[in-house]
Amino acid sequence: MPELVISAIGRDRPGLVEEVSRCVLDAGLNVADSRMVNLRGRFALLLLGEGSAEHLAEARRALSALGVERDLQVAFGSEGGDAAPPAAGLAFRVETYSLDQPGIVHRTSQLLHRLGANIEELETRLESAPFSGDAVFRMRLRVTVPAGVGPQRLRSELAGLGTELSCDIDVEPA
Amino acid sequence: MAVDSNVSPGFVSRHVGPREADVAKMLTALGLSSLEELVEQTVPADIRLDRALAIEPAASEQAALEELRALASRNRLVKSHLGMGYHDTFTPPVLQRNVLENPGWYTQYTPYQAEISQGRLEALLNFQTMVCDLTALPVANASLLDEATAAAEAMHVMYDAASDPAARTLLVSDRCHPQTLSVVRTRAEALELPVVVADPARFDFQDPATRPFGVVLQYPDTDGALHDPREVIARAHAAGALVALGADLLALTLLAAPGELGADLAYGSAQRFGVPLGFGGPHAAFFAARAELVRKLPGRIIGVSRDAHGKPALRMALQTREQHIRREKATSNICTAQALLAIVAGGYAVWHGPDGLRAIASRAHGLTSALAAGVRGVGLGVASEHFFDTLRVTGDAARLARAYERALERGHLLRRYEDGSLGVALDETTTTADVDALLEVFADGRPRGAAAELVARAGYSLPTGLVRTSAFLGHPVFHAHRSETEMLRYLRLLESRDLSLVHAMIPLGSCTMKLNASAEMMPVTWPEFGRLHPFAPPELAAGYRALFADLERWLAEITGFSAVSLQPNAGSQGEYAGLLTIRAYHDARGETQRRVCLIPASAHGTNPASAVMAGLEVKVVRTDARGNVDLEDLERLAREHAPRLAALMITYPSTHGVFEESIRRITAIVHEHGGQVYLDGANMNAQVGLCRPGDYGADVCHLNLHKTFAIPHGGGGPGMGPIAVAPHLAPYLPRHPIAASDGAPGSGAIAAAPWGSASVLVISWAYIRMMGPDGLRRASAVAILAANYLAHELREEFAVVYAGARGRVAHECILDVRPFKATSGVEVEDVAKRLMDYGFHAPTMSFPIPGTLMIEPTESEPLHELERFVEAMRCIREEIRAVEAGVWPRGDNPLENAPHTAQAVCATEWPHPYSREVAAFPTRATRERKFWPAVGRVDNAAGDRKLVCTCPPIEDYAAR
Repeated sequence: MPELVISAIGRDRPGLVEEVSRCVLDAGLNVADSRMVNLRGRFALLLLGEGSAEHLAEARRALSALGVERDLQVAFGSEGGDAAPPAAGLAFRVETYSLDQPGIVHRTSQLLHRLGANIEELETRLESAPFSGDAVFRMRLRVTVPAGVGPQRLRSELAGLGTELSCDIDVEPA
Repeated sequence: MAVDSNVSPGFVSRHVGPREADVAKMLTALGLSSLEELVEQTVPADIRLDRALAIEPAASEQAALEELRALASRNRLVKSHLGMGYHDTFTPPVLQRNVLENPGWYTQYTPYQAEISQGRLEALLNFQTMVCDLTALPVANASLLDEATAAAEAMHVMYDAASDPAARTLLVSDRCHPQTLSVVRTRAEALELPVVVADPARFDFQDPATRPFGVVLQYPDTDGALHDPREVIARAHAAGALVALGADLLALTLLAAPGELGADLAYGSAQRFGVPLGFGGPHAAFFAARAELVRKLPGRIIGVSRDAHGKPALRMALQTREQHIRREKATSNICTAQALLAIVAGGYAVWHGPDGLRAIASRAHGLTSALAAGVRGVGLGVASEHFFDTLRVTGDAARLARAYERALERGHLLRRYEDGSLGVALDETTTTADVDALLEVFADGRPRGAAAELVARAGYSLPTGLVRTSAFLGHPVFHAHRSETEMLRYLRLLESRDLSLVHAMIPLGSCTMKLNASAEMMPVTWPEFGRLHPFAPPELAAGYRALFADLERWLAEITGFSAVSLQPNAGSQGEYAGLLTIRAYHDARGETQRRVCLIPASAHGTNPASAVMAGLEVKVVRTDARGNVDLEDLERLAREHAPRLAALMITYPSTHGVFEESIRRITAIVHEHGGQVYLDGANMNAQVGLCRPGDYGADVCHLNLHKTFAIPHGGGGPGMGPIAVAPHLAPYLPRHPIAASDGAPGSGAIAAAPWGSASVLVISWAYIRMMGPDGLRRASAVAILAANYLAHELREEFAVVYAGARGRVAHECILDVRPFKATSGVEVEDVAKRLMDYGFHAPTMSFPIPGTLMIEPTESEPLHELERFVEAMRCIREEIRAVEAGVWPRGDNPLENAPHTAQAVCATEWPHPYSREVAAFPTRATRERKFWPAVGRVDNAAGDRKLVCTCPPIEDYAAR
């Protein structure tokens, strides 16, 4: 079934999710997967919809119009149904904890790339720590690691990076 | 029993801050006619206690002190030669009077707010430096709870660092102290790690069936013998195992250090550095490691960073290891440690310096050598050729038995082994007269040498290969304060940098910073309570035993349970011990599969951390929109995990400050599915005399005596966390290998000493004795009143996040600071730092909800202090408004630049859009009484990027 990736970014207002999802629903699109986050007052949405070619076309039209009306930047991704096959290997959850500093996302993703791992999902958060109030930076990743790289090696490589970046890193099978 | 009835003037009115007229004023503001009405609106009707607590009516301070003197006189003071990690010592009087007995040092909280904690942070840094120097290892923490739990923590570190997952065995030397063996075994068993107790010299490291991940050794060993551990360490390393060396701190002034011998970790007790025996505590344990292991270290680590003005500033480093952030993934469940005692031990090193410590050690060793020579001279044997300060005397069993009794008659307590041999440990307090007395006892009528001559003739009995050659304690701080005048001024200087209860309310939610009354504190340092060894036989400690019996009875009555263990020496230890009783209970009934522990998302971080330590699997229960445990989610999880359900951990009132109406339903759901209910007693201050965990369905609870029951916080410890249990759990309370055993089965020990930090139990005894049932109930009611009053007075400026069914909070309230981030850029941290300029320690930040402040005034704060706080918070709200309105820019306003130091405010340059007066003296109250933060806002990230956990060179101090 044909697919469409939709992204929408704009100033957060109450009702935005309702309006966007109404467009998608009225266009006859089925929501296969989505992520929505409020980034300090800006609304950002990523959505994967499935439907017939007509549905996809209607979704494009309706969402573009909504974008103009609601001052949202709306963009559309490939309609092709030939998604890359899921990477073979072991799934892990990686979580890092540190005081905020530059480079954690970059260095971690660089290390994972070097190991041949694929990042399926990434989320970061800057949160006031209990009691101390320090801004603690937390990163959560879901990664697929090629079979040749065992959990031992993943853990020890990440631990080494953690020491370098002054960051605590947990690795758990997903 | 109405709380409004006139309580006779006495201690209660000294402990409770608001007077009758103040209480009336607060009630009126809340639209209430009585405290009783407030209690009815706050505590759910179906759990309210409808009678007074069955404990003795309040005694006056004088009467209580008299009773304590009578109890103290029933302890028999003897010279303790038991050793096993506890050695008598002289607390330097300047430290006793100006630190241990000084509320300016013992009423501080844990130094989360570094800018107003630079005093104790420096004292703890001195402690860490002392430990690093003596152990020759580069990183050390700021104390653990005791030597035995430190050994258990070493086990966790070694397991975590192990490179080979197939190596699951822990090898522990059979010469470790017996309490170390018991505590380590208990911990290992909960995690299903096999422990082999054996002579490491004969251990086969290559046997695949028992490949160890770690080895624990004792140096000198429990018999006092000194063996070179280098070979064992090398063999362990060759087999891929790490080594933790339990070491005697005083011995390390004369002996090769753990780091020099190749050990990966070193641990031990710092008690003999000037901290009284206290019948078991409180004492600081030390813990040091190789640099690569730093991120796996348990406990607080003090590190050096810099403040907003580039000046050196101290703070707690690498907090992402700890339970408040990492929860079930934390390196340890430890929260409150032994800060005050670490400060004393570090102060002892500052006071004596390396030369003084070496002299103390040499003297003890010299006397021991003389004793050994004398013992041999009368036909007895000494088990080891090499020793530091402890001998194991061998010979005819009947003769030794006589010696033991005669020694005791003369006031010397020796260690008795099962085979009849006797252990004798000497220490800083031993005199030649003592050695003479011991020689006479061992001589058994035969001619013997005189101590003085033996001392003169005896050489050293340290093995040449283990004599220390490296220097230590070279930092100027260990040389600069050797006269009492200098030491006094140094201690007072550090004290002046710490904000404590002697200055202002510390409204930390969930910490209960109430009065630590002088009458409660005074007996702690009486010799009859202070100079008793924890393993002294029961007949020598009759006074303590009677005190424990009273306290256990009172705590059982207060909690509605039937049995109490006073062993856990921190709240986290109580949680751990309580979960172990639950686990043992299930195991005893053949239900060893029950390992799932349900924990609300809002729980304190120690809860999941303790659950993991107890070998349980954590499942998180959601909270609903009102901040209460989501009953549907609880029911779903309980059903889903029913056959494997071990327990629910719940805090009541909740960490949101609410008495959840559905508490009986919650406990029923858990019981229906075969689980037990653990109640976290951190919020007991809202319950005492009003409701009881045992009545509404809990099976076990812990109490934080350093919260509800008046033991001071000490800047990060000591604490005490006894557990109270329902009858069916009583058989599983922790036992102890040496004392307190009545032969009954039970769990293994969880702390080194049978009654934890016994000497500070005196404080809680005195508190309960002087408050009596009416006073305790009134305290709880006034604590609830004060919190509701603050929430009410601040309701226009700050939203209260959660309240109970009738709109009342319990003893704490949560104020929302989150909206201001969007409107002004001001974060909760900025509010906390700005409160320092107003002369306050901030309330609890971001727990249980990020971006909020949790305020707990307690019943001890007078109304004018509550009003001073209200004024400060209202002014801060006005300041936020000024930023919202653009009067002050984001990035340069009094909140974001807080705290303001004297140096900053008096500098030539003042580039800010607000006046110096607004910065430092925003209210009239601050003009009358000003507490100056010693440093500007500390850059925490810089401190973690490059960890420095020992004293920086002296030039850096000059830069301040």
